[in-house]
Amino acid sequence: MKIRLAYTKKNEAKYIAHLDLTRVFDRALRRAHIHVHYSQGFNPHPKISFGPPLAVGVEGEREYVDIDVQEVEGLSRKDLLAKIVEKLQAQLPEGISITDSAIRPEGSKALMAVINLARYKLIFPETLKLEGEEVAKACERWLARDEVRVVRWHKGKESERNIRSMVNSIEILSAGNQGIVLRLDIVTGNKGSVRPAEVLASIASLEGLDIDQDEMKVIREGLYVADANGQLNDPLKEKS
Amino acid sequence: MNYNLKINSAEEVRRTIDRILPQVIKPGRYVGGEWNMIRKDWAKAGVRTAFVFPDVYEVGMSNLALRILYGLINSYDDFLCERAFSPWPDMEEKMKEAGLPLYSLESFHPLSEFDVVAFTLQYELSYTNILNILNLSGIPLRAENRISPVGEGKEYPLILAGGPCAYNPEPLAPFLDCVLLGEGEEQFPAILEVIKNGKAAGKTKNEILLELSSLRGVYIPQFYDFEYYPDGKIKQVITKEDVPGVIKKAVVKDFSSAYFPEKVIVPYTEAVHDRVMLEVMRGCTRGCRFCQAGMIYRPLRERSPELLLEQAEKAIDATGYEEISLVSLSTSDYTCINGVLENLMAKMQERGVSVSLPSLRLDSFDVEIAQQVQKVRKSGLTFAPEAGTQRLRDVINKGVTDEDLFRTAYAAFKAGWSSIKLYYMIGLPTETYEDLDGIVEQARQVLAQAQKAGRRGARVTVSASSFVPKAFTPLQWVPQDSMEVLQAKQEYLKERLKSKRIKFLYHDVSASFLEAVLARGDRKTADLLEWAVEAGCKFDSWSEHFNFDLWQQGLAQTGLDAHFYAHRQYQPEEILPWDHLSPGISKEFLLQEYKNALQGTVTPDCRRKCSKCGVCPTVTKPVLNRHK
Repeated sequence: MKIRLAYTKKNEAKYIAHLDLTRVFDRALRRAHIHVHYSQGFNPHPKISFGPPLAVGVEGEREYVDIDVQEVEGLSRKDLLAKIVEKLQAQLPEGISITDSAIRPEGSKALMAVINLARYKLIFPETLKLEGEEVAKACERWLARDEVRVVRWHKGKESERNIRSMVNSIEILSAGNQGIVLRLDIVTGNKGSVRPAEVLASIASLEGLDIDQDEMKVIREGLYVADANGQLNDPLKEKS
Repeated sequence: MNYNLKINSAEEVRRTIDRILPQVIKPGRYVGGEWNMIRKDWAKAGVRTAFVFPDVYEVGMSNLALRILYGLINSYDDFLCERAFSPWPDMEEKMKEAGLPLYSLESFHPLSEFDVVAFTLQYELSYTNILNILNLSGIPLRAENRISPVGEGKEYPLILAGGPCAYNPEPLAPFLDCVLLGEGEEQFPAILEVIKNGKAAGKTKNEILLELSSLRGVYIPQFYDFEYYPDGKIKQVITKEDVPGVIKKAVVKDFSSAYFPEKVIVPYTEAVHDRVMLEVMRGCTRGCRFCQAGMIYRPLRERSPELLLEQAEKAIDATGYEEISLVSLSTSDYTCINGVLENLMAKMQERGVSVSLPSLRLDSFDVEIAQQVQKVRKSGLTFAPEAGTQRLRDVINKGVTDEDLFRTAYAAFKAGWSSIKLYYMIGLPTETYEDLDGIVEQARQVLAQAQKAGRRGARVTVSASSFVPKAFTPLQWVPQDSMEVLQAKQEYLKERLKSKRIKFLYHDVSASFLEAVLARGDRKTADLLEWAVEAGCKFDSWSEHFNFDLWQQGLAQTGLDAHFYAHRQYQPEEILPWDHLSPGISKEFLLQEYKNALQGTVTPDCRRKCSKCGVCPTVTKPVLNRHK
């Protein structure tokens, strides 16, 4: 039975690297005495899969994981799910809280195949002394560009890409005494993505904004399945 | 060398690292919060101990001693134990920029706030990291500079050390307040009890240290002085207080009932050994003459199969680990190994837990066992013949024959393995180029077994480390080969092991040389260590950080004759820098074994015939299971 969980990744848990998450969940499941299905082959691994990676140090308010669990005789699927959520939660690290859960239909697509939009919140403390208007204008100018080509080094290889096309929108949620809060909607999924820090760095250098990114706090608010009309759907309820 | 520490409270540390961590590699190593981490009430603790492994988190978290002592100390109501590790140089740099001291992962308290900072001494090349950690904590390096008049100024933590390298702690002696020889399960809490009471009664550091010196296994370096002959050899050891002339190691009364950590911390960042470690026995009966562990952990004590199964079950429940490793110095020698493996695997399979053995010996290696434990992974098997010819293996008392090796290799290839790793040592006493030819020949023969077994594309890895004489081994008197000789031997092997099927690995000879200097060093070598740390030496066991040029400068600056320690034949009648310490084995036994080595006389496994090393039954009795 394939289940999908929504969870938070906050506080110290934000330092758990994406590559370590499978191990963290596998061990929590084993402590909870929940049996999962394993892949066949030379080196069997538990069938646990996640959505798009969250950068180390960034908090997530609604992340997703799919787990292929073994069914238990004499227990309905619904009851089993409720029990799993309860038992697993007790074994998860502080900062990871299961907030929602669903049973997935047979043959449904993987999270990485359906999630195509990530929504981030960027918080600048007032100590940065940024003017809301100044930031808004810089973002506007940046968004008005047709393309923004950025060179990136990955595993010793140089690649150039257009990061403008990966940013759907930038919105100023608030600008006042508490500092400035931005919302970024970024394209994500199997075809790659761009980190909010990269976008900010680009805005800072191209539009002449002085930002100390060390002081900036980044939170991923949610991940969505955006349809052709721009409608954002929750991966937990999404049909495919 | 102190840098400017601007931060000195746990709250400030916590705030500061949140800003720093996004800029360093693997930040998860510096925040703790792992599953099963113990966070006790700081204010209520009678004694606060920071247990420090002087290497990176991933290495330190793999250490069994840390797992045992962390759980054990925290099991006492009055004691608190937290962890700290060496920050990787990128983190160190950020810490220095921010004026951030090294802190514990549990409560983020700076190390200087603890009553006790305890280091585990696992390898000599971690010594600079120990001193670097003191520097990063704003704690003066030398014990004599850590005394402040009562009620005046800063009280520094007591600096403790234990672990295998504690059997020759002299290169670190001026920096340590207290050294524990032997097993910590009973003696570490006893030490903390004395410190707790001393602290409560307002005793001075000196009074507390004097009281500690009466505990078995406790060595207080500052109460001992060395007098030297003009040639540098030790003339005599002088005790400055009423302390024992020879310190005997501490041993747990009953190994079976000794504390076993079930709820070990499960790291999120992968550790080097990231699994349940089930200690099936302590000690080894083989008596390999180069092996310090085989000497200092005597006698052999096995745990019962029933106890092991119970501990395994509890450990998996508490950690969720997917693997259990049966650890000891030579696990395939454990009397009931087959039964334990069978039962363990039957129990663990449905929970998706695999079982592994860390070390395999050729003569007791049973391919069926290996097949059981590595059902699916046919990746690699490791054997340690240690020397290429029977003659030299007799010298080091490694009771393995060519036939053993070839038969086992054949069986392994037949069973599906496609690669075998062979471990050797070069520079052993009496070694000639014939012995090196023996290594080449063995590698070829092992490959030939692959062909015979029909295993195509099989590979052999030959790893040759350089012999380092260690304290309390029969080869402790032997000089290490010069770096030139070792290098020539490496070249010789490299030339002859050129094959697509053979991979040859070897170590930097200068690191082995430094290891020998520190392994056989006396108190005078401390000056070199101090110089090296101030000059920036650290992570010497990491080839990318080991800076031999700097060490050579240090030798020139301090005027220390390193060859005196590494390349000199120590005389049987001279006083060794570790003669005032004792792991239980007698010097007569070691000398007899040294003679046997030079004559190539083999000493049987002490399960078969007692070799009268002096440990049993004076230190404690051996414990063996009956075959079932």
